[in-house]
Order: sequence, then C-alpha cells, then structure tokens
Amino acid sequence: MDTKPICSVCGKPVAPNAPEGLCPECLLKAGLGTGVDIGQDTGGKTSRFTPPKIEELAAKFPQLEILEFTGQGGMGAVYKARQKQLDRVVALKILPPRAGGPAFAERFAREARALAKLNHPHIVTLYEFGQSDGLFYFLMEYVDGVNLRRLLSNSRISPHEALAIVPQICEGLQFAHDSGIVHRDIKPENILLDKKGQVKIADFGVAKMIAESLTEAAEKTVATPGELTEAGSTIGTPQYMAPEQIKNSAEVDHRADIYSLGVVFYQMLTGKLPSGKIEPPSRKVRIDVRLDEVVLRALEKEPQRRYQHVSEMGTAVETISVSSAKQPLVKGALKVMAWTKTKTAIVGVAIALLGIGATVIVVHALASRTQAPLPNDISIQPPSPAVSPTAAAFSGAWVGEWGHELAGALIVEDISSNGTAHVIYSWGNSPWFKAGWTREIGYISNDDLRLDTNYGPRISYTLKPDGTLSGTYQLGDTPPTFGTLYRVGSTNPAAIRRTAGRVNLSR
Amino acid sequence: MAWNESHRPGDDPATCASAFVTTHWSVVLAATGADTTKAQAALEHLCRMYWYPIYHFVRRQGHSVHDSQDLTQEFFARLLEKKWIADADQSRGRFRSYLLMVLKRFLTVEWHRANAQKRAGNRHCLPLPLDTAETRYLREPADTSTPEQAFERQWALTLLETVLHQLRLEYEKDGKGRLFETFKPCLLGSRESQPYAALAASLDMSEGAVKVAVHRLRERYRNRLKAEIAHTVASPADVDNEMRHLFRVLNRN
Repeated sequence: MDTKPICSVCGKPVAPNAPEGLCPECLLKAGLGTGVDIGQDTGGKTSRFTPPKIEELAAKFPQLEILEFTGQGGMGAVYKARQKQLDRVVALKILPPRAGGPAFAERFAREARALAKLNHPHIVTLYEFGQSDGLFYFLMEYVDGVNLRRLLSNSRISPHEALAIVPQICEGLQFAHDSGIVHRDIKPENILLDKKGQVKIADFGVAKMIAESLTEAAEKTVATPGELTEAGSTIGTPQYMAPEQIKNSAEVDHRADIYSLGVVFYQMLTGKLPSGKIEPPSRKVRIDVRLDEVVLRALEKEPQRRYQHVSEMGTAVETISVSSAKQPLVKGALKVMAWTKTKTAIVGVAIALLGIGATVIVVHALASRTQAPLPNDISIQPPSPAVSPTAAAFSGAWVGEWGHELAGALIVEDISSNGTAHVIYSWGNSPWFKAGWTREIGYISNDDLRLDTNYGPRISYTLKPDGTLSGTYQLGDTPPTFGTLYRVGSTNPAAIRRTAGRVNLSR
Repeated sequence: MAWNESHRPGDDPATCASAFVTTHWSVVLAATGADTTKAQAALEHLCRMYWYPIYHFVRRQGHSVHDSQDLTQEFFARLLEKKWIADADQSRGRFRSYLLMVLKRFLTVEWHRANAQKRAGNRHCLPLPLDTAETRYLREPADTSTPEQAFERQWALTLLETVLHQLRLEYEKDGKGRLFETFKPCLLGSRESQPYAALAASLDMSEGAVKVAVHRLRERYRNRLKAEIAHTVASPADVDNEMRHLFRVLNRN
C-alpha cells in the first residue's frame, strides 16, 4: 500500500481530502490558540487557573527548552520540555499557585522527596521538583503514548486488554504502597500507556499535596466544613473516589486506591461507571464471571471488605486471564468456526477494534503479555455461555453484491441472547467501501438475520445462514438486485477493504 | 506576570454585538415576515458553502450518485422556500445542527413525496457543483463513524477548506501567493516550534521578517476561522464552544 503522508505536529496520517494538505485537527487546534483548555473531560466548570505562556516559563526555567503545552487538569498544567544539558525529553508540570506558606514548601519538599524514590517501571518517575520564581513544579518522565481516558472515549477496551492493563497498575500501586505512598487520585487520566503497551501511573501523591495546601489556605478563610472543592477544581475525582475518601479525605489509606482501581476496571470492562446497585460486569459484557468477584470486591464500600493489598487483586486478575487464555473468549470461538466454513483463503488477524492507530499498537503489545506460565492449580473452567446455532451462523464478516451498486460488506459484531444483533454495513462503488459504514440493529427471526435501515430509502435485508441475501429496496425506478454474501475471516473493516479486492466473488 | 487572560483586541462587547448582526445565521434567525431578502441571501450564502456535507450524508444513506444529486438539489430548493426556518427550535443555536435536523426529516418524510411527484420547473435552484461531488466523495477514506458523525466531520473539513481558500485568495490578491504557499505549514503547531531559522535561510529573509510574516499569517487565519464559525452560530459566546466541538469531532477518529 502506498505510504500516507503524516502530520509533522501530531503524527497522524493526513488524508488526501485534507484542506490545503494540512492536518485538520492541528488546524483547528491552531485556531483555538495555545493555552486554551480543549476540555476533554466533562465540560462545565473551568478552573480559574490559566496556564502560563511558554515564553514566561522559558524565562523561569533557563535549563529547559519548553517544547509545547500538552494539557491541563485540575492539578496544574503540563508541558513537554527538553533538558538542555542532558538532552532528555521530560514533562514539566506546573502547580497552580496557592497561598502556601513556608510550612507548605517544607512539606512539599518532603513529599516530593518520597515520590522521587518511587522508581518503578509502572510509575512515572519524578526527576526533580522545586520552586522557581514562586511556581511549584515537577520534572517527570515524559510518556509518549495515550492515557486510559483517551482509549476509553475512542473505543471500548476489550476484556483481554483490560486484563493485561490491570495487573501492571497493581504492580505499580503495590510498590508505592510498600513505600508508604497512597496515590489518592487513580482515574483513567492518570493511567498512561506508552507505545510499547507499558502502563505508567502518573500524578502520585500530588493530590494529597494539593489537598493539604488548600486545607491550609481554606483554614485561613472561612471554609464550608467537609467541602472538597475549591472554586471549580476538584481534589480527587468524585466518581473514582472511595466512600471514606469522600467523607473525610484526610484519613484514607492505601485501600482507597483499590476502590478507585475497581472503578477504572469496571469502566474498562463495561464502558460505564458503576452506580447505584452495581450490576456485575459479566451481565453487561461477555467476560469470565470470575472477574465479577474481583471487581465487586474492590468496590466494597467498607475498606476492610476489599482486598487488603492491591497485589492480591493483581494476582487474582492474572490467574483468571491465564486460565481463560486456554479457552478463547466466545467471540474468538465463533470466528474459528466461521473460518472453517469460509471458502476464501483469507487469513486475517481479527482485532475487532475500530480505533485509532495507537490503540492497535497497544493491543499487540498487551496481547503478548498474557502468555504467562500456567499456575500449579488448574481450576475448573466455568462452562461457556450457550451459543445458539444462529449466532454462530452469522457472527463475523460477510462481503458480496447487493443493492443496485457493486459491492458491500456486513459485519455482525454481537448477537445477544434475545436475538438482537449489532451490525455495521457498508456499500459503495469501486473502490470498495468508499461509502463508509453505518451501524444498525438487526435481529434474528426464524433463523434468518433481518436488518431494516432507519431512514433514507427503505431497505429491508434478510440474510440466510448460507449467505443468500434478499429483501425489499425502494429507490426510485431502479429495480433492486441482491446476491449472495460470502464469509471473510477478518472483522476489521480496514482489513476487509484491503482484502476485498482480491476476493473472487464469482468463486 | 499576571495570570489573567490577556485582553484581546476586538473583544470589546460593543463592536462584537454590532458585528454579529451581520453574520449569516443570526440574520436568518432574526428575519421577520416583512423584509426577508437579507435573510434569503444569508441563507443562500450558507447553503452554498456547506452543501457538500449534505451530499455526503445523503450518499451515505445508500442513494445512488444520481439520486443523491437530485435529493441534495431538492433539499436546498425546499430549504430556500423558507418552509422550515420557522421550525428551528432547539437547534436554532447552530446552523450545523439545524441543517442536519431538517435534512434527516427531509430524507424520512419528504423523500417519499418528492419521489411521487414529478419535479416542477421554476424551482429556486442553487447553483451547486454537484458534478464534482462524487469525485470528492470517492476520495474520502473509508471510516466507521455513523452518518451523523461523518456529517459533522465533513462540516469541520468544509469550514477549514473555506477558511484556507479565502486566506489564500487574500494573499494572492496582494501578490503574495508564494508567501502563503511557503508559510502555510506554519499554521500548524505552536508558535515556538516553527522553523524560523531554516525558513529564513531558504528564503533569504531575515529571521525577524520571517517571524513577523508567520505571526501575521497565523493571526489572519485565526480571525478568519472565528469569523466563519461566527456565521453559523447565533451569538458571539457560542464561537469558542463551536470551535471546541468541531475539534472534538475531528479528534474522534
């Protein structure tokens, strides 16, 4: 395939339809100007903290070359910088200026010293900290990758990946807990994944320092008791905070981190935050039921009912993922069955993730991590959920001729027990699938898959397990034509596009 | 150094308010029964700019090339007959949302009627370059987003293309077309990360002159971008939000 040009700023590929050949995202970003909060998190309150301009910083940090502003959270502003002497790329984090007196500075130094001792592959290393011209700052390891929030908002993380990510977080957290440090603000934004798929936990202990400095400042003025927020910025993110942390943030121990990790884990598996009467993840997503226990235990309201050490949680997750790797997830099983039926000789690695390029790299790296040695006690496998013959018959990807245009593809992603199927389909003139993909809900009826389009021309498709496609199709005077669909081995739309040209439809 | 946001010229509320009366969408929304010529012209201007996302959306529904062209033309003809402006309720804030809303309605309900009746002459036809639409459509990379997401993405791309095109014309009119072409990549990335020294060397200009030229270009681009967005929203306060929204739309894929 011809190599696509990439943007020199963000590294993403530039499509041929890009305006004046420039990366559209970077163009819009340029329109917003530097230092403006893009606001990826829940919108609403904007903090009063305006990050300093790069020129200001360059003056305060002569030993650094400030490269660019990378983001802002409630905890401060982060910049990518280069240590001139060492020629090393680092992350510079500037804390919002507070009325912290000398006592705060002393505590800040003590805390930071403790943090600097946290040298672990899964923790973002702290290189330097201090005060420069009234600004408190950290110099940290620069992680070239994405944070979990980005992955969560772009595409659902598969259970396989979640099972590979969580143990790494547990390792890092356990190391910190052993050193007497509690994170207090575990959330997707603070879990980073570098290009090799390694987890790096960021912003350790910063939450506590900020909380202390604010309590100090608040004590000087009149503060509402029990209030954790300060004019727009929240200490600890409420959805991820343990109940005891919300009640009284001063007296929490390492088990609060376990709770927060439980929330993150839940979100990775189900895509939602646990709320109210927590529904076990296996009811929402097809995963090993033993994971329910792990997640729910981490989410216990009483700290003493949770795992007492985060390493226990990590071991539990690893045990489950190793034993379930022997028996692939049901979806994978379906694909194997589909392959043996297909007549075309396409071998595709089915990574059913419709996400960004970075995500794909992560998946490759993470997948290899689950090849751990077998444990000594081989526990009895729970029976796999019953799969109806129809589900097996339809799941996967099909291509063929339909409508009154040349070709189309249909991917059946998910069939639930009540017979509804998540389908994405595409059609278009040659070259294949230029028309893009549409997502619909189909349903199994009388052993056939039926699909009605939502608007536009009224099309109703009926697909039989043998691939025969029929239906009704109202489009002006053109008579509808349907044909037969054929299985292909990959459910990756891009892969289907690439291989479709080589498929000889007339067999 | 103060932590407050620096005061930008042109932020004066008085000038903003009066400037806004003349932006297209606010003119359309403000139109009363009496004099609608201005509103009509404004709406036409907007339609001629954003017709492609409409075509894209229609095409994505599975209509053939020919039908898509017809439907797009028909849609705009109906829109300009002012039948639907009164219906703009919650989507009034953004022309983008409004347009998508009426388009979807058009495709579900109106489409059948349109097909049944033969199209009468004397329709107010917008001169749209529909013959180029399909070529453009085929050049799009395949994507997995919903038609609505694709519409918003096309909207953002159309906006950027228009802004850059206008910017280019502006420079070419001043005889600085080559300058635009050379400094175009400097629109991306931060001000600090631009290769001023390298550019100065290759153009035989002083670094100071390069910095000034680049700064001007970036500023003009930002102003034009904001102005174009302003044309599609109802009030000045909405411009930043709309820009952020479009950034998120592009960032999605």
